[in-house]
Amino acid sequence: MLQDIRENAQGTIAKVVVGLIVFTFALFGVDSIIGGLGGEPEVATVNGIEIKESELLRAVNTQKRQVLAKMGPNADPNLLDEVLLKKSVLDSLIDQKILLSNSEKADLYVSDEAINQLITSFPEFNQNGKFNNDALLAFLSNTGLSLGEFRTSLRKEILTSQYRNAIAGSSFVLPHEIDRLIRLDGETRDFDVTTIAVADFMDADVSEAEVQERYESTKSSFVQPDTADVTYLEMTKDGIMSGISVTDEELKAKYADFVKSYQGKEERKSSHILIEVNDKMTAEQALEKAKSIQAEINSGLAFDEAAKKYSEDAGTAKLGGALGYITRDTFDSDFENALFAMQLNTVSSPVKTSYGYHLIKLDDIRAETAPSFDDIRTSMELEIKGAMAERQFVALQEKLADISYAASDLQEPAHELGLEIKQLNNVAKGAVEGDFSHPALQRSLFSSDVISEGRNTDVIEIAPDKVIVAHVSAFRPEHLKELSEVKAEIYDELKQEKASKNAMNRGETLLAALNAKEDASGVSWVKHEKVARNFNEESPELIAAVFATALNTQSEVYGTTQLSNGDIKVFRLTAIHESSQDSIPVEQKNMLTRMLGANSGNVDYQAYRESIKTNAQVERL
Amino acid sequence: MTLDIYRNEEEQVAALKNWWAQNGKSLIVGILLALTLVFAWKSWQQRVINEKSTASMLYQQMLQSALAETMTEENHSSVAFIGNKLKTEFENTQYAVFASLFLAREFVNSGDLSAAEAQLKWALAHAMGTEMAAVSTVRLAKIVAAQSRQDEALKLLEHPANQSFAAIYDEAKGDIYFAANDRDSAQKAYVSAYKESDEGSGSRALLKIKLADLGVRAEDL
Repeated sequence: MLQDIRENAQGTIAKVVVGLIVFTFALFGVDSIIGGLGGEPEVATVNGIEIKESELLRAVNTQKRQVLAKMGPNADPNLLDEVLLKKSVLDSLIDQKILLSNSEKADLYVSDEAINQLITSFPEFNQNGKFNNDALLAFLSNTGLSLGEFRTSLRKEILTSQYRNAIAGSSFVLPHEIDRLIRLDGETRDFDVTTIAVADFMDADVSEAEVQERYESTKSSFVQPDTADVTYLEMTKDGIMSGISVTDEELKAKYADFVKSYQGKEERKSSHILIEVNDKMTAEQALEKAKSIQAEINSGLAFDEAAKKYSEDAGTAKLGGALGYITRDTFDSDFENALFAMQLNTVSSPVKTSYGYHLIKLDDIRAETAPSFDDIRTSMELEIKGAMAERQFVALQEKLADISYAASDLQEPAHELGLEIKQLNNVAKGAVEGDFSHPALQRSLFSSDVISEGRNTDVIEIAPDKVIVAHVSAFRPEHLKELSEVKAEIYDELKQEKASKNAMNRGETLLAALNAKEDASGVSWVKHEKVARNFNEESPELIAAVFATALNTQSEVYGTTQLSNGDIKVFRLTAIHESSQDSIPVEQKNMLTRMLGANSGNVDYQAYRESIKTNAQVERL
Repeated sequence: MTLDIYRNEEEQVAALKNWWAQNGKSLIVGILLALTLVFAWKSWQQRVINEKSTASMLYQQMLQSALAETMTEENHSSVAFIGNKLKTEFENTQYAVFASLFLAREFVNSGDLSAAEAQLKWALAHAMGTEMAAVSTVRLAKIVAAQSRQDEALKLLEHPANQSFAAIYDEAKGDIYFAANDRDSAQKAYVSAYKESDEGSGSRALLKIKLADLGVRAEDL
């Protein structure tokens, strides 16, 4: 092949091509040639920027992790709809790219130094006012990002936020706008209201034919999903615990361990004299010296004086060798073994450690005393039972799974494990409440193995301390409910509708009569005075209606509105009280100004996003 | 430059020398010229990048002052200083437009509406893309109207520079009509704004109250 190239390269055209390649290399580097060929597959392009498949997959994985974390420890990854997830993640990636590409089109720019500065300024990566590279590396390994990817994501975030802040952050509110809002917000109204209760119209007649007609026209809403009557076994950790008994011997052994762990917490205060073993002093010489100091102390020299005079531990010698209180596992182990074996106020024989020879004086012992056996008996018992139950639960769960897998019903597993067979009827596919709504149990219960072949379900962990295995005793497939089954339901619905309509008619009649100034002495009004928008003794629908009624120059205006329960409210607006802008404190006014400004900035930014989204060239591949 | 026609090496060498004598100079000049062009291009690119990079950093600093939770005297003067620097020294970048939006906000907050108006006019003239133009226009119209030049303000809002901003334009028109006591026109503008705005839009809550004030229940629209 090389020969071919050599021969072909002789031709003029070949020379031109080679020349071009060399020229391109020289000016634009290797990337210009490698980058254009092959590479990863892409899933979409946004304004000419590609979204690579690997980028999408990484984003999908991150999203998946977050969703599962939100669903808690029993989350089942199989439940996530991959296709849907992928689509929504791709949508948001496309959104991000659109924003980014618009920032780039506007020639916004972030230099590498700016990104470096930003990274080193994050409080997370700083310790004692200094940048801590280990913290950065730990963060990267936690998030699974490479430094390059982290920098890229920061770059994108800065470019996008520069535009966002320019629009959303620079908005303002003019003084007259804020005054108007304060006036509207502080306005109160006087009104009277009377209620036409829908309940008074429930005597409406509903005919058989009407019920039949409604059934026919809304059939699709009367589909009954698959349902099953089930028998099931439930095994809980609590159930196992109640079957465990703990002997006194076990409790006593546990208590002994417990007391021992308290001894570990003992603190001893000591002083020491160190004779170092080093180039100038052999081990024997040091030992001799230590022994002679010990002799001096025994014949009356105070330990602290001896420490000042002889100790080669420069840090403590001046303090008379004082080391203060220490617990176990803080110092050299040889030193500690000797110290924790000593009697109070005695001086040890020379103790050898890696530093040299020590003379140790035990000055004080400080220890917490352990609670008595009776004090903690119950909690120890529970602890032992809990630990045993935990072990048994795992083992029994496996046993239950083995037996119920092989068995054709629940008799044998119930017998073997001493569990009670329970019964539950009408478990629906897609149920949302109770243990049988657990997605994994639903899937297993309505699988063909269980429904058609009569096998037991898998043993499903409903909660960390509870498992269920079930068997279907009767199954009814999805079907359209008969008219007879839903008749009552439809009847009630139609009745409610008619009552609501009749109430509304009555309300309109009353309104017309009131507007025509006819005699309305029979109407009983409830009076309200100086009611604000946030008034909560009447329903929000009524308050909205009252506040959306103009009084103009009249002394009273009538209006009506229907509540969601069908009741009709007829009201009489009699006064509107304006509030002045001085009615609220300055701080509150400032806060309102900020809120209103932020809101209007966000509205502007939403419009910006919508606009660039509509104009973006998006191609999904 | 096919050399095959020459019979022996001496002839070939002679031909080469001859060719060099004729073309050598222009070849060297050509190469030098090409190299100069390449270097000039690269250093110009570098200069542009340096400029953008400095503008970007200045803008970030300005944001830090401008978006602080509580604005101190120092914040205000730093926004003014950096903003003016961006506008004079980096006039051709969008950062200058961003800066003038923030300067306009500063002037509104200190009550100098005519200075704010000048900033927004500058932003409008230099804005890239219809979105920025729309943002600047609506804000400009509000400030013009607040200086009792309603007709001029309404003229600015006549045709939205961008359809995605239609609801914002109409709400601003409604506000101007309302301030001028033209309740019918205000109501008409608010109704359009309400219909053009999205269900979840941040402007709907306020629009509902403004409509109610004019006796219109948004639920009925």
